[in-house]
Amino acid sequence: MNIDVQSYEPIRWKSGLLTLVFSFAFTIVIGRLFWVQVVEGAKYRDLAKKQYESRVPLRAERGRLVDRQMRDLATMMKTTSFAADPTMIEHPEMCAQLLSAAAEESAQVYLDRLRNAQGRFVWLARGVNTVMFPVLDTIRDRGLIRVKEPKRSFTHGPLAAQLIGTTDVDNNGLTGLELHYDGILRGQSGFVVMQRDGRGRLRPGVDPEREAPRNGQGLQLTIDLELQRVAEQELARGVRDAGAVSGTVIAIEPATGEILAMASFPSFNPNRLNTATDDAIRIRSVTDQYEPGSTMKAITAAALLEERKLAADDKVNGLNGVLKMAGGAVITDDHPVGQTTFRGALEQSSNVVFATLAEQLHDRVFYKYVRDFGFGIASGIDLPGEVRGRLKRPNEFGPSTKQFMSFGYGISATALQVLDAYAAIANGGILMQPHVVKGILTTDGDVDVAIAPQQIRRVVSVETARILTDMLVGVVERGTGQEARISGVRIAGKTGTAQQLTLGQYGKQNYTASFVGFYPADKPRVAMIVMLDRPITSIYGGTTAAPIFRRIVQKTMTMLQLDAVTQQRIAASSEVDTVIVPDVRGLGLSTADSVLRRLGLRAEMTAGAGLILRQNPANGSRIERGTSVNVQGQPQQGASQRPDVIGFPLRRAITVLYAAGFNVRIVGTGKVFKQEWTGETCIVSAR
Amino acid sequence: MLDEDDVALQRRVNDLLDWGLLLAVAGVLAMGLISIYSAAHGMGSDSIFKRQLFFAAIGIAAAGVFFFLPEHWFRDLSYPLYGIGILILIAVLTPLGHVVNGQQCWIQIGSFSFQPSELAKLTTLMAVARYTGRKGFDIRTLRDLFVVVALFVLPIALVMMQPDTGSATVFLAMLLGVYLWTGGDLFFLYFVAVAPFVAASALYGVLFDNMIWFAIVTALVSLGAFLFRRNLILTIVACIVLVGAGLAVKPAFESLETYKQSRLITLFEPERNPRGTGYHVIQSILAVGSGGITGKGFLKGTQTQLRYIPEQWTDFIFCVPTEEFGFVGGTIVIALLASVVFRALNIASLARSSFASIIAIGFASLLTYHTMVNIGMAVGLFPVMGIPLPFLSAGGTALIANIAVVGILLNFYKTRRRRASGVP
Repeated sequence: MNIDVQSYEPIRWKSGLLTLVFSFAFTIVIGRLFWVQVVEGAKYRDLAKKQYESRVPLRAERGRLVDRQMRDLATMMKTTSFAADPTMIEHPEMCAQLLSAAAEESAQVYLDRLRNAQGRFVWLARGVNTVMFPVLDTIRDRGLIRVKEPKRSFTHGPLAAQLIGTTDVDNNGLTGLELHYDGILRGQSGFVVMQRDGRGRLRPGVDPEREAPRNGQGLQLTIDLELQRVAEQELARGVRDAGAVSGTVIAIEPATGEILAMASFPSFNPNRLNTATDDAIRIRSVTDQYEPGSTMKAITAAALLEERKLAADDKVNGLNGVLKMAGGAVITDDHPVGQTTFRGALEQSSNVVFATLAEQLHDRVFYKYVRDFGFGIASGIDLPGEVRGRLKRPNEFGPSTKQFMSFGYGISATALQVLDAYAAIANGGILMQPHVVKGILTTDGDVDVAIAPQQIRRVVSVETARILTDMLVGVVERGTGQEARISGVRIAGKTGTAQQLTLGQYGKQNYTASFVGFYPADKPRVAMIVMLDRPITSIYGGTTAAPIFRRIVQKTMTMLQLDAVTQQRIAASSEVDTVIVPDVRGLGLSTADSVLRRLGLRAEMTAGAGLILRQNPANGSRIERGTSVNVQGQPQQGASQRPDVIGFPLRRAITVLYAAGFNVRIVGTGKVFKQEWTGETCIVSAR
Repeated sequence: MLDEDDVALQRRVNDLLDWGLLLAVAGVLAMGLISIYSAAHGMGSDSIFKRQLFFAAIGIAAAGVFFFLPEHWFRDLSYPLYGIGILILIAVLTPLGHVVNGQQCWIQIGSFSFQPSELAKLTTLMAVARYTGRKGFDIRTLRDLFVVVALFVLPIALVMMQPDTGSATVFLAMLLGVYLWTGGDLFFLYFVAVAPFVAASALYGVLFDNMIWFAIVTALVSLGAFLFRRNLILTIVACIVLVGAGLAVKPAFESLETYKQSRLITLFEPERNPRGTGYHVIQSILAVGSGGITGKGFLKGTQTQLRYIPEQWTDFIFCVPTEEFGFVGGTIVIALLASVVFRALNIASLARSSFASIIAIGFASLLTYHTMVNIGMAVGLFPVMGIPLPFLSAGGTALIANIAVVGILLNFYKTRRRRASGVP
């Protein structure tokens, strides 16, 4: 070894000391590591998870609603939301143009969104219905992101809107059946766990935790689509004709208690919820109560008949329409009668006679009948917001309470309660549980649980019901309800004209006009009530509500499965049912056909194939239901043919042109009024 | 017979090679490469991993060469190397140096950049080792102490100018190791060693207006000082100096740059600034803590893979093995590093020359300090100082230098003093 090197004497204790010091250092570090990872590991794991985990909900599809014949009322529309990764997008111009045609914003808006986007994700258009615009599904662009978002679609727009109800943006039921059956309809949403990285971006994790959504079950309603449609149409017309504030129509099947139609006016369009008022959304049939007026007389009559106080043809005295009550009040009749029969008094709706006859019934007995017919108790229908009405107990009766109640004052009821009582008469005296859901469907659309009709109680005997029905037929044939008469079908019914309490007094301005009845009288299939709130042109139920009743019956006669001769006679007597032809140009044949079928029309391809270019009759014209619309598709050697798209809505024009293999340049929005060709590109001007 | 020859050869190889050191370094290198692979995984390019692999290969090649060089080559070259080290430390302060995060600590040559301070740590150690090997060297003489300290202070001063306080403290750690090993005064060493604790407690007192810990620590330290049973007056004076230094922490803290102040505050309370200076610490502890006992699995560490810690492959690489392999993985890394340290300590004891011994002890001190501070930083025990984890952190200069030193240590082991028994 080199001499200049100091020979080195190791000193054991130094080595030991350093071993100790170094060990100490490593021990501290391991100890801290143990503390952080083992002792507090769970805490940090939770914290970390909270930081990086992001649960992205997977929406369950809401169950659909179908009518009693399984026709769609509310379904889920498979909408697609479009987003983009601006760094990856290949054909921004094309995507923007196609989106602008489908989602009604100018292409420039989308281009700006793409250009101004920061990061790698930007929403372009939410909730686009690609079914109506299939070209969007054909875009192949790595930067375009599609997110499927199911959305409630109301097949028939405002049809049965109040009944079906509304949902919020998160698909929670808010009103109507959507609320009442929310638990069944909503299903259970799932989730997928995404990871959020250090820069706040979401990305799918390794082997992501995922729970598939369970779609909601559908409901088969008792509603008949056709009857509902006609009821709504005629109610709206009747309310307008009478200058009324609002109106209600309910139709029920007496034998089962199944609601066939439930219409309220004013209504709303569920596709434009933001414009709907609470007035339009609520189901007036069950939420609003009113004093029924003369329609109550049938209940009084039922009690009198059942208690055998008198028979239909017994003599009664109408006192020429004036009766002084014990309390000093005076009852008058609009149609004064003198000596008449019990039957005649009902036909002419004599308040005097009924007030007099009611004396024959003990308070408790009268109360029992009224109560048994369903007054003063909520019907228990499967709809939210039902009120029970107001029925005084016998011990609350004043000296003339019973007399007034006998013709429908001093008692309030919902339209449904009044209808239920008549349905019980129609059903041979048995009150049925009214309901609007006939069955719960499986997610595949089969009936899972059928809801059976439920009997509540027998109110009066079959015999009483039969006699009363006969008397009510007389009301329509000879009495105040003649406006509801239809030759060929026996209708039993009763009008009601009730003064409304205004500031605590019965005034001569505000009335409730109603007509309630059932048909065919010998074997009732439908019981229906029409009620108008504050009609102006005429206050009488017989002149405002009864015609609505009649028109609905006329237009829905086919439902009754009457013999052919009767049907023909009825059809001849009623107005022809027409519809306005929609614009189906630019749609495929099957789509066009389903659009037309909803209106009771058919599509018939007369020439060409593929997308429809022409239609006859033109859109906007009025034709009879059941007829067909001739449509022409693209010529068979389509590619060389330049389609004529003038007059088309812009988005359809683009669909047609793309489908025919041309490029499109767009100027303006709205309807196409000009098209020019430069090579394979069509310049479409719209306004 | 052939078999016996083989056994003899085997025995000879075993005698020449420090298998423990070799395996420990191989293990820690493997852990480092795995961690960097994971940290840089899914970045679109794995160039960070490939570069690290490349640097490791260079380091191993250098170590292979150094393993065979005669010891005097290192000794003869140590002063010139020291000069080169000082020169590049000066060079980095000139426009040649690159500024990263406010620190001018990189020199770029072509597409490669290197950190002069990492190199200077070793050249300084070699120069000090050579000086201590002089005949008649005695650290207790004022002259020798002065020279040793001066050899350290020069690079420290230059590194501080970058400014890179963290790296500067590494030189101090080596100085302490060398001072102890060459027979330095333990009483003095004691005060230097406890100074950081006093400073920390004083700092805590300043930041939170709570001097209780400072009182407790100074009391304990003073008590420990009296156990040395040295001159009473000297002891008292030393204690007073210590307390005075502790009290000087407040003005010292206030004179620091704001970013250093906030780093120090973050140490005690990372939550105070979760998006700023506390971000690294919080995310790092989250990564480590959420690893639990056995970790989340290779490439499955959420904090790592989701890049919550920017540039994790450098100073916060320790989060990767701990998150993905848990406490088990973290302990393995620490154990491997500790093995390297203890093997180096063993070589320091067995080395034939003072030069070799000092290099070994200096390297052991450096490794221990780096490990403790880096891991302490990752688990919220020390302030963020920018000190890489040896053999694991990405960074060519440090990796090559460290592996090269291992080659030198293996060389020293080969030529160690054998004990009397059974060695040819």
